[in-house]
Amino acid sequence: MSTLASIARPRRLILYAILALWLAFPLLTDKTYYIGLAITLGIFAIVAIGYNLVAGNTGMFSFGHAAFMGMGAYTSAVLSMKLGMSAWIALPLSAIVAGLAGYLVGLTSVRLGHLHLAMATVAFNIIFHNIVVNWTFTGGEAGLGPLSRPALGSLVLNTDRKYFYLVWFLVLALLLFTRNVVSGRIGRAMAAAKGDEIAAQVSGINVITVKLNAFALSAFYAGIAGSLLGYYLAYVGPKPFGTDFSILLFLMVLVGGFGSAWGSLFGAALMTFLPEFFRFLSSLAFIPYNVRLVFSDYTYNLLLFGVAMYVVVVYLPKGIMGISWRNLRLGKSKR
Amino acid sequence: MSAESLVLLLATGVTKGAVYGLLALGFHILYAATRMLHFGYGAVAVLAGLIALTLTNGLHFPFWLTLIVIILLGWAVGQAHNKWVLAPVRNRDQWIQMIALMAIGIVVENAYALIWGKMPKAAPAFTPGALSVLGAPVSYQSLWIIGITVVSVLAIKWLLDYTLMGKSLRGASNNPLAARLMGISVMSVGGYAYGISMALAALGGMVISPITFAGGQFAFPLTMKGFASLVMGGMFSPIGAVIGGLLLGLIESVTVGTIGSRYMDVVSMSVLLLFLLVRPHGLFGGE
Amino acid sequence: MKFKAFLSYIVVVTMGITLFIACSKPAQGPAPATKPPIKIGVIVAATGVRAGAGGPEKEGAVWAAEKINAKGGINGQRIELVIEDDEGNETNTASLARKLATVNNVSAIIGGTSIASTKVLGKTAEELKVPYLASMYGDLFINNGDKYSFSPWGLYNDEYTWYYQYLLKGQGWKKKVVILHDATSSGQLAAKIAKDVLGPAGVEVVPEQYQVTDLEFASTWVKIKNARPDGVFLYGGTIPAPAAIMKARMETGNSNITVVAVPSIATKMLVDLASPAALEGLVVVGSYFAFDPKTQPPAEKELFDIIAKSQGTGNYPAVYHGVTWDAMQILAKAMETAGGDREKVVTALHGIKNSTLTLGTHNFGPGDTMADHTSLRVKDLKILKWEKGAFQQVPYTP
Repeated sequence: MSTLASIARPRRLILYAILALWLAFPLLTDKTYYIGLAITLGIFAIVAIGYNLVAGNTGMFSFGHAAFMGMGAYTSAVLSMKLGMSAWIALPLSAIVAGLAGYLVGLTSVRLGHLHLAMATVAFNIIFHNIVVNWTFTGGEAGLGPLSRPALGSLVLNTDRKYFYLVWFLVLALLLFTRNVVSGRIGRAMAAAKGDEIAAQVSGINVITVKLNAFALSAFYAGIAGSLLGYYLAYVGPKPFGTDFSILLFLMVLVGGFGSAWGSLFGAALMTFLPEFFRFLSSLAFIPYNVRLVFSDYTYNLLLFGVAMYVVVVYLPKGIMGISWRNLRLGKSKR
Repeated sequence: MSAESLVLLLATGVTKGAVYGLLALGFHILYAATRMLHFGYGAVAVLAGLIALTLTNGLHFPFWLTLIVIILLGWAVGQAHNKWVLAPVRNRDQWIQMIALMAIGIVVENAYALIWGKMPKAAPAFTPGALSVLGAPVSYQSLWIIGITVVSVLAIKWLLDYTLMGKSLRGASNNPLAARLMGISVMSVGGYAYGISMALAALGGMVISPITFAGGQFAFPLTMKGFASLVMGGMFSPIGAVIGGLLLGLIESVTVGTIGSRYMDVVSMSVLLLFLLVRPHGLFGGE
Repeated sequence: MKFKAFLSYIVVVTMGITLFIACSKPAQGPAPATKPPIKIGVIVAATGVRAGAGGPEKEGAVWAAEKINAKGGINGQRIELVIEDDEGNETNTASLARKLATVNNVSAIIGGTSIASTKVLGKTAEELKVPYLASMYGDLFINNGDKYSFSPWGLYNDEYTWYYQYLLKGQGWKKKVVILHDATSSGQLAAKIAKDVLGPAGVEVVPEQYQVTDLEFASTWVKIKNARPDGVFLYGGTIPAPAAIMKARMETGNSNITVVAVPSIATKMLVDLASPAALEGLVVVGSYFAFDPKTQPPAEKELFDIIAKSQGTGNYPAVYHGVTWDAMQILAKAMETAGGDREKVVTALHGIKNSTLTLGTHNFGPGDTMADHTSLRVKDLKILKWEKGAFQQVPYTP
């Protein structure tokens, strides 16, 4: 299921041009703010693409993936700060640790139905957050730091510009990797497990193993993203890894379209740029103050977030990538 | 440990546990009748606490009036959930309904934060003061809470066993398909289930706010503790749900009183996980 | 056309617009008739768990700016504040700091509510070369060699040592002290300093950690009572936990156990949530504010008057108001000579000496050590006691 192949050649060239432009833009501006946004977008995209594997392709709606991101971040912090490990070794190690954690969590959760899985994963997220906040080893609420940026010999990735390329290199690499996984045997097994477990089981697919692997893989991605965030901010604290982010993650992939890696990227982009768009709207003087408040006040934003979540899940359950002009579900419920 | 300390720990645990039990009972009714979990449940409880505060302090309603209004309000919110929130997704996948409910929970939570502010507020006890048991002060509010919980449980039991509403709920719980065939519509079962469960949530929110605070950001923890109680006590047993709540409250207070509150959330969430994995039907299984 | 193709066109156009905005340089209009305003950025956690501290921090900065503008601004230039809410999440802090520095082009940044946010802000300030006045103790976030990060507060270590010595000398606690602290790293640090200061004096230190989101402390008080301490040192200014702690103390019948708390606890919200009766006998150690209108220094009175005017009489400022209020005025003073130039502001800050504001007398040193960049030293700290519905000052000589 490749979005790219379904678009005709001239349009595909345009998409490549966009990609080239995107990769070049940090060199064209010195407004670190936008480069920084692109970096956080890339990091969220990585988690989202991984999360899509478990939620979209395999149909397991976990609400605790922020914890795997946190595991990656904290493991990197501990390895780099307490053991002096270089980021290039710490990052993959942390990702593996996160992946293992994902496997273990999966062991407990894969047999559960949607509701129970949601409860269990939220519980894990809370446990992780609670331990990390209260344990002296992980630095409590202030977290661990400062972490030094990764370095290649004498080239230290100490500007946003340089870090951008590291992050987006990984984003693109993981996108390609995901595409291969999904279109290959593993992906088909996931789809089978999601669609009809019994049929899958009968055709010889070990549903449990497939689900476990999906969990572990998605946690691996989250671990990478978490480490990247840690090195970027130079501090790893508990706040970014709570249940709030897990729910946001779900919305990203929901909006993008479950099952579509590009969709997850799109969803991540939407969720990253929407607050910026709101900020922009709240600064336009010609909009009456009360309306502007809706965009600038965080509580209003969260309210809109809840509304958006409702609207999307009711009318666009297949996300943006699942729409065609015909099946825009406005006001119709499934027959 | 002195008798006094023991009494205090017990009193605290049972009080908290009673509120968890109320919430768990609400969850149970909802889950048993409609096989759905509402992640925005705690938000309704907190909202009720805030409304109760406004009615009592702002509009000077007498206690009994506030109580009745809150229960009716809970019922009404439940009906609204069933009729409007779930209307577009009634026949769709389970996860879609779950997310829709979660989304509305987020909306409710932020709506009351906008109206009442994000900071918690002090709520007055129903009857101020405390009585002394073996030297330990047991507040009258605690007694109120325990009393209200007992009455509620009995009321629910009566509802389930002796009214038509209760019978249709039990029927839907035992065998949803058969119930539909018998002419009990999903819509009406949903109405009863959401109505009762939200009324319980509202009650829970109202009784706990004098002990903690009204408002603030406590919706989600309440929801999760309610889940934990339900899973521990028995997803299909009303009495089990309440006992699960009591147990959780006691576990929490004893842990805090002896070891410390450092990892209290870890304890309650671990209990939830343990039961989900090992004994998902809880201690009391159920019908 | 196919929907996906349509979508890709929308994406192209949107990205094009974004790129255009990102890469554009501001247009050069005609020179303004009046002097351009000086932009100062403020990042606080106005929402979220730390809003109890972030809200006052924002107010303090806003009022100070208004006060300065009312007097004509800085050499005729108005202060224009750009206020951002990071929600207590350091990912947002990093992004917003970059925005303030590179898009809004502020001359300096004030704020940082949680320790993590402050550290991230400090790092960004060094990276982007923007002067930053935090609302955090200097030794908690400034590294030796930092050029741009400044603290208008004091040294955590020094102040807490002072507090614990008060426990020994002023309260006469000699055997056992419970340190009731929250899970923040400053809370854990407070417990550690207690052990370092009180331990050698022969006092048994019992740390008891609570979670910032806890609301129910009856069981905790059972544990405290059974420990039979001389008293309880309460660390924690983030409402509502301290209010719940005091309420539980009264309700479990432990009002006879003396509680000595840190100054950030002395807020109106504490009184509202805990009720005046529950606070009876509470001792606040190390307060910067004198509270008594008769003994208040004029700088403090000014801040109290503003609070009374904007929030009604009976209200008083929190420490968090004071930090940003002072920070803004220090910044304004530096900008009198430096204008809006970032590098000149940094140099001018080092020249701030003997500037007495609400928290005390501020002195920055000449070098780039952490001590040079931290302006307050423990001197004029006061002891308060809540009696008869108000904070009264209690005499004490260290």
